[in-house]
Amino acid sequence: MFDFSSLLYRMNQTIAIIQRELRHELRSRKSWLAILLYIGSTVYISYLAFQHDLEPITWNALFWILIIFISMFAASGSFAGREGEMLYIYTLVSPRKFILARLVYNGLFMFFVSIMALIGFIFFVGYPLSNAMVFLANMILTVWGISSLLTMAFAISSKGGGGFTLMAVISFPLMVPLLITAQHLSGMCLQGSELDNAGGYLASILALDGIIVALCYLLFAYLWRD
Amino acid sequence: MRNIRFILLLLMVLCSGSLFAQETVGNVEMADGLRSSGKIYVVVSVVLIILAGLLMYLISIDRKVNKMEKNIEAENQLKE
Amino acid sequence: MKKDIFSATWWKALCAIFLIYTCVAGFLLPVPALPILHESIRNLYFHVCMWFAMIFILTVSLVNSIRYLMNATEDRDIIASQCVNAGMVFGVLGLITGSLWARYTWGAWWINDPKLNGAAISILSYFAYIVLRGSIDDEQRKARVSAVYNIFAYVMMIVFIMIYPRLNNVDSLHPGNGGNPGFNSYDLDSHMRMVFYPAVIGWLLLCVWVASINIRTERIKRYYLNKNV
Repeated sequence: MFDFSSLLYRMNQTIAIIQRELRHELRSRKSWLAILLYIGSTVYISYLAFQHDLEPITWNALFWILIIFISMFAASGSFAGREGEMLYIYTLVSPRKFILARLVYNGLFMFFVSIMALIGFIFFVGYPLSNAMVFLANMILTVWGISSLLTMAFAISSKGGGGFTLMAVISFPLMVPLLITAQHLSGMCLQGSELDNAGGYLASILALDGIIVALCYLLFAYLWRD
Repeated sequence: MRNIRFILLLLMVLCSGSLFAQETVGNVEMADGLRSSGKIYVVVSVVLIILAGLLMYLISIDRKVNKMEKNIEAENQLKE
Repeated sequence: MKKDIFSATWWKALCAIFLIYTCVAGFLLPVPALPILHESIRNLYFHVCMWFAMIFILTVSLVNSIRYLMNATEDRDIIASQCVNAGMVFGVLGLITGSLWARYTWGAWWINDPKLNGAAISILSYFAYIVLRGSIDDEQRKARVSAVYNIFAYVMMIVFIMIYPRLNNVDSLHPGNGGNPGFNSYDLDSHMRMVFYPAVIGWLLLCVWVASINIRTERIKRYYLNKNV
């Protein structure tokens, strides 16, 4: 029969890792601040360059470019100088729990960061959305997918020793299905566009997310064995 | 939204009177000129020559690899 | 050296026969006369077969990657990586021939079509695989990491070139979306099938032939490298 107590025990470890990452982030605040800087500078430059004459299409494109760059940075996380701690965790926890924890943590991180980016954009660069609910749903689902993909790409590239460039090279082609669907859907949410079959697009993004997370979960153990 | 779709449908139905894409097969031009003048055989010969060249190259590489593999087999036999 | 299916000759002879048949019959046998395509529908025997061959060889690569992760032998890694190399040749050829075909039928070298985008991005992701392999030095780690990435790339490829263009809300210029993959469902009478099936087999075997030479060369290279170490 399904054993709730053992499930809770297994989840405990995952949750513990998430809490650890969160605590580290709040303490060091390195990626947090860097991302705020990214958002702030993009928003400010857009504000200066466009002066509220921004067409919805350009707004859309800029927003997604910002999300991509932020997520690249967020997924790589602040691993520098934490190798000892990582080794410690490796010996204690099974790879599946570790990757689940990292996926959830990165997903939540990206969620908050993307909300902040959206707010920044709305305040400074204009509000061209005609259907905010669908846009939000789209953004949340896509950002979850992108962060999972980039977490895996970071794991692969860290084993490969190529750093940031390798991570970008690996992750970009894999991200394109998500990005194209998301772009299309958010383009439809802008003012002056018709919203047609949003449910279908959202379902396909959800399905892509599911595939990515499942693959990450299953395959991370093989990367780990070092 | 529904009204727009209905109007578009009506427009397209009205346009259908002037369409000719479904004309009889004989109106679609094919390379009959090339075929009747016999030049199609030139095309076929060109392609066959290219193909023959590529296949011969593949076969020669294949033979070289075969030879290397036999050498390795012979070395292993000598060792044992 | 292993004497396995890659060294056999029978299927290579079959490949040559089928390809010669395709090239002769592909031009001489009659085809349906359709607007826009005219004679270029004969490209079905060449361009489409490139994609079939690529997907087949990449599937072989995937299977070997999965087998490598289950039980790590060097040979499986060799097969997986060399199959990707061969598959890329055919994929790029497919893209180039498709682009040329599109120029004269659809009017432009490249169109914002989901299947074209999907094919291009899938090939990009496999190039990333080759880059990944090049950037790792340790043999075992290279094999393992690239096996993991291979699985990702393959799943994304399948999603992006097979599933995505078939969704209801996606329009595409490619024929056959909604029908079988690659088949022009509106005009494939028995004439074209007579050339198409041998053509697919012929080009597929050619891809396997190229991959097999890559694999055997790599095995020989590794043998000498391991001997000198």
